[in-house]
Amino acid sequence: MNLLEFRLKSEALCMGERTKKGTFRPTITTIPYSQITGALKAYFGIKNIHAVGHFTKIPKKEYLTFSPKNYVTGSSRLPITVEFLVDVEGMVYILKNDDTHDFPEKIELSIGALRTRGLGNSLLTKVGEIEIDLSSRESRKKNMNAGILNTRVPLEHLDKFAIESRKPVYGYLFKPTSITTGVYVLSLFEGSEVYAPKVLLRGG
Amino acid sequence: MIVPELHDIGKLVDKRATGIEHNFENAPFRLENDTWRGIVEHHCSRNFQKYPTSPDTFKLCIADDLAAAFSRYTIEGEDAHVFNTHKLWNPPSETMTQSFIKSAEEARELFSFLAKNPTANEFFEKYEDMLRKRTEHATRGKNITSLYTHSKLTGQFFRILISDNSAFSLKSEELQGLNKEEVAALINKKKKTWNMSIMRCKINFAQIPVKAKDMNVFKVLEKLIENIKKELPDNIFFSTSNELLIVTSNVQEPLEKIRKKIEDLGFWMDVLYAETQVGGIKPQLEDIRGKKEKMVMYPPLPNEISPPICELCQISKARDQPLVDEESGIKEFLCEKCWRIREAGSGLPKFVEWESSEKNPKIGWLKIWLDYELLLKSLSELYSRYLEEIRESTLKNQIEIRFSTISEFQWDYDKFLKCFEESVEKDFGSGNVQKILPDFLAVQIDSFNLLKNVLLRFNELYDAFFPKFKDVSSPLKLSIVGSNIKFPFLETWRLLQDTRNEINIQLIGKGYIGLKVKDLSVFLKTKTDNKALLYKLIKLSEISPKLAKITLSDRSDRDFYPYTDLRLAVEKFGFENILTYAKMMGD
Repeated sequence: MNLLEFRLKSEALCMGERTKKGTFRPTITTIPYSQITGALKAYFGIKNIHAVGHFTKIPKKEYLTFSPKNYVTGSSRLPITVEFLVDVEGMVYILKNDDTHDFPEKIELSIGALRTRGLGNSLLTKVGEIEIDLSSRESRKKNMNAGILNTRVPLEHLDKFAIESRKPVYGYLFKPTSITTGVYVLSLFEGSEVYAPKVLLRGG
Repeated sequence: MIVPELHDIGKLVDKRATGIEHNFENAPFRLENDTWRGIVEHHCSRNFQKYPTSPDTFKLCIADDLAAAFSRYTIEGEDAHVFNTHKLWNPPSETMTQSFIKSAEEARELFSFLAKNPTANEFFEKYEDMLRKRTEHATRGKNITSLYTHSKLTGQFFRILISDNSAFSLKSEELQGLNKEEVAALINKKKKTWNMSIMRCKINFAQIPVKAKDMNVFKVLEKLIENIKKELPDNIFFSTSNELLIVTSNVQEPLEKIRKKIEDLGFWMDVLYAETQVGGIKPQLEDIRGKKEKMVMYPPLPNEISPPICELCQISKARDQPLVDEESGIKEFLCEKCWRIREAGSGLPKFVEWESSEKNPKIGWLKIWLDYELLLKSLSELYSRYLEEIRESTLKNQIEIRFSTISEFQWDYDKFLKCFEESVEKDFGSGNVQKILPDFLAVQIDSFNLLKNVLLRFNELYDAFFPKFKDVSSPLKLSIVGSNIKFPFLETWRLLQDTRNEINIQLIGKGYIGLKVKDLSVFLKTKTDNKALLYKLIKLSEISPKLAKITLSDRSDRDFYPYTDLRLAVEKFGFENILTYAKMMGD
């Protein structure tokens, strides 16, 4: 298994969680499979992409309050406060396969929520490629470790990233099934104890 | 039936003054009941003639051993007798050289009490003061837990041992015809062949409170913990507002009971479990040699949920009909469990009142955390220091803390939380304080500078209850978040859980203060009375925090000399801490 390693930079990013109380939309502080894979799929127009990521420094949070407009009635709804991250730096790992092996060195794409308001513009710069060789004990020792997961991955994709769950923290990630529909799939969240590639672990 | 808690009642009698052994084997009085048999036969050593002759006194002897704060490191000699408890976190200033009952006449009173066949509660009620002061083992170096705690724990261990005759099998015939040495050998054998389990459960909730009514989840958690404690009174050896340390003969039964309860509420639980021989059971689960397992117990989670998903817990399918807020018209999709919590009405009435008030008050959220692993480590360090002090030499091995010491700590910890709540109520008025959990309060405040009072009270109480923890890493951590009441609680809760320092203060929109408890009193003396200077510093920091920091040390700045106190404070505590403190005090 090979992972393409990209550095992510963004001035402002809202990796929005589901809205709370109808008026507050918090942001999460990692880069889940669903967000980054969705953004890459939308950018390249191909389906066979699997990616995860995390931030390399604790991002600063800021808040934006605005009133979404109901375009049918022309009236404004209740104001909503959105939490977003500024000066974001992180790493993104894309599973190398026939569709992704020739990805460009730089990818400019929009990730997360509120893209119409200028948030989410991100630059991915290729850093290199990580070979995760699971064939021998020596090679596993080199790239794999037990630790705390630093991202969110659906259970159905754990094996793609060679993640073994030891003490899970569960949650659900959204999985689109068409342009307008989707389901929530059981996923491993950050904070889970796992045996996984070092780059996907806290402090790794 | 033996009342095991009374087994060491004889320790209230001073042996040197009366000549009476604490197991009453040579006492000038005698009774014919089970508890008396327990008292007389609860030891099996060369120091006493009597020894266990029946399965119940045999098990009492083992329970007594498990509930002891034993250490191999002791001081011999006459001056080694100390009768008061040396709490490792708060040692006494005076030394008690005799036990309480010093004459045969007084001892007779004790005998009369025993003759009434008292219950454990009657015993604790009558002798609580003495039992709390008197140490379990009146030898320097072993005197680290009270007789009160030891008696309670012996009762718990005894009932665990007699409750399961298959796990702890012992027939009367096995003891027949054995002499003292043979019984001692059998005790050792049983301690190696009988197995006991210990588990640490950390209960978490998936719900993320967003409305005052959702804060009910804390009340639900509190009730759950109380309920488990009531159902397993003999098995719980330590607890906090969301953690339980459980000792049992068979882990499956209590685990299943708790699992069912948490599942009904939609909570989840971290479990660390270990099984080992009775002689090897200890509170350091990680260090236990034997079968060990880490588990996470969730309510049943489907692989897929089709929308809508519950907005609160986000791990269950929401009801198709949304909950509509009458005032705002906001629709929320909630699952059955979270709906029940929301609809239960608020268990936090003051908070609801503040939230609906037009004042939009500021809130100080105060949460005290206890780090169990750090507690064991710090207690072990303090115990080593205590022994080194009396032996005047360095110990080679790390000292292990036993159940009695953490239980002893539990009394003080609970009392500390109670006193903290009372002192905050006294300072702010009970109408302005909402207790959420015993270790979690919300305070309505006019300005953030009032949070200084909270820090002062915390420091005073810390000095009164746990002064020695200031010499090691503090297992108690304080998190404070200062925010407007409208600030989303889910964010507040995340910030409260950030315990990277011993004292953590997050003032929304102002900054962060992170300190060690030992530095708190000096930190609070930082002079912030020159408002003009502070205002200048804050305004500069809004342009650039680095510029503000440089200004403090800029000799050409006209305020260089007036900044001296702040400069010194910055050197000691860091710029961010001082700047945030200045903003807090300037509020």
